[in-house]
Amino acid sequence: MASTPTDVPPHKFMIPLDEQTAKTAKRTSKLISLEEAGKIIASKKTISLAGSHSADAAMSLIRAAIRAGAKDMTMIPPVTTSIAADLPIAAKMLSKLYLSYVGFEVWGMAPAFRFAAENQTMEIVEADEPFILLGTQAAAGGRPFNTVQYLYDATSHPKLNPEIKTVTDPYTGCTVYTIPPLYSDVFIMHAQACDEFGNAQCWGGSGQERDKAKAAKMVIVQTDQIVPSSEIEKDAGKQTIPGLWVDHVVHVPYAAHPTFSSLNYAPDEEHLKLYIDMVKDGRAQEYIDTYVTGPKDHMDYIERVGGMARMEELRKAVAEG
Amino acid sequence: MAEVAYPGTDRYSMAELMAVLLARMAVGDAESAGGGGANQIISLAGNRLAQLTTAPNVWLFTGGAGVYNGKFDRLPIGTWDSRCGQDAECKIPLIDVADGLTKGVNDNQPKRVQRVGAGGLGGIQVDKYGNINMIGIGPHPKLKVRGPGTVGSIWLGAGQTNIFLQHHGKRLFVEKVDYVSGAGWLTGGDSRARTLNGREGPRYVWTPIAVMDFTPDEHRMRICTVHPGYTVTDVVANTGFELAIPDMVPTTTAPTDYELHMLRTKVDPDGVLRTKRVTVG
Repeated sequence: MASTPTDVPPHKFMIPLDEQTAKTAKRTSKLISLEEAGKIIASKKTISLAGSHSADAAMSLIRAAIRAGAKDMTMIPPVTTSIAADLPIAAKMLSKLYLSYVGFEVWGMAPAFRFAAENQTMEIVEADEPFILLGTQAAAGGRPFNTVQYLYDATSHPKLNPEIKTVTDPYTGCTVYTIPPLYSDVFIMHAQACDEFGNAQCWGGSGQERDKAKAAKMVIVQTDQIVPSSEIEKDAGKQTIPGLWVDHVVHVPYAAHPTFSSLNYAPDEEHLKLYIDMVKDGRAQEYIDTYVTGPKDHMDYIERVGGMARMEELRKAVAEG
Repeated sequence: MAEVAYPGTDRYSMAELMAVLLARMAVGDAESAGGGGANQIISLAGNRLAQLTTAPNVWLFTGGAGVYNGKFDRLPIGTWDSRCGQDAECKIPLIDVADGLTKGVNDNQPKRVQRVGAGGLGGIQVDKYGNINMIGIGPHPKLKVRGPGTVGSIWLGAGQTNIFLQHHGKRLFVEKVDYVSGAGWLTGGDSRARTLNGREGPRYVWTPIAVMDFTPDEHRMRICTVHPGYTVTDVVANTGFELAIPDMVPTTTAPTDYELHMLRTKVDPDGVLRTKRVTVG
């Protein structure tokens, strides 16, 4: 039998677990501070978001990114969004936007978006719901493109959006439209609950979280609450995305304010209206000074938007239906 | 050599040794780990043992149950066994596996979701470059031996993995596979890198009697260590192609008391691996 050579390091499988295992074998927490997360986001080029309309937006991360000086970014938004796209536009954080819908629905048009579009201060890609969903799906699966048949024949999108191209379907010989994969450098998302290892629960959700996470090089989760593993382990089916996909977790109570946090607290209509009115009046900078860059931390922000009393009202509005 | 390999010593079984080896090496630095095919019991035990000792951050995926980090304390009989779901952390649809593994390797195609980590796959033929055949033997479609189908063995082309086999014999280790269902180093040299866009290839081959790896340039299978109770001659006699043999071939380090204690109390208290048959010849 040959003996162990002494001049080469042993293969790792030759070293018993006793010698390899650290004295305290502990899982590494993914928790970081909100300001750290903001700096990371600001260092990236392309950002993607989930949530929908005025619900489940990663607002605390967006404010942190603005504070960290994020600029010249490209945004792949959810197919419908309001302040999650409009505030970054107001803060001159974006140079390019894949547009599907940016607006405040019952409360009106998105003022900063409209202003930027009219003054052409930002590139707008004439995307739409299938473009964003299917492009994200292509990126999520590492596929070269996704396809749409017929529908774009009937709309102006192929003429206005040079990223929509065509290819011949090898099975039928028909011409079909292609949508490119929409990768992002960082995907930021809101969760109602998450453990420190990144297993995240979205209690509402539009279904865009999973593909957006898979299509991103980095995933940062803001969560209303951190829950222990015992809570996560109660039902594996309750988690929206596995912690494996998540790089960082930020614990921020009322992180989605002023948007709706599904099943958790109501949208702050008064604040959303205040935002719209101020930006419409040309007071965007004043809004940013007061509510984004001004507060010394997130709890100070909460104070400025009405304090915990107001947050409790929003929570009650959901609890009491 | 006997058809059935009884425990290498009277202290531990070969299946236990293989699980321990896997724990020591296979998942240590991987982000996620999964096992597959008919070898699930041993690879599940190895991955879970690693998670409990050297690799607390590993994400153990059990494909059949579709969950991450099931904290089983009785050995499941497969990745679909409900024991895999014990205190699991997240349930995912299987499409996530395909999505993760079909991604490219360049910068703008992030590798996420499911990396081929440890665990590995077996086959009905394995050749000297680590290519795997689960399709069959003989001319297609009238095969002499029809394999069970190839399931996810194509994922061997997605990145680094280890090949884990419960048998070591000449009918399994052949000069050239009849069909490729899972890519090893293809025809050796840089053939894999050229075909698969620079993706890493298989690293280790684990069998009941030896651990093998691949030579650095030619990527030919090479003996690393031989398990206690066996010799290089045994390995050569049971391999159907010429193995690279270094000047020095150490004996595989046997399981320590700590390793057996952890395995038998935290992972496999029913002693399934103690009587699990792995075969030679």
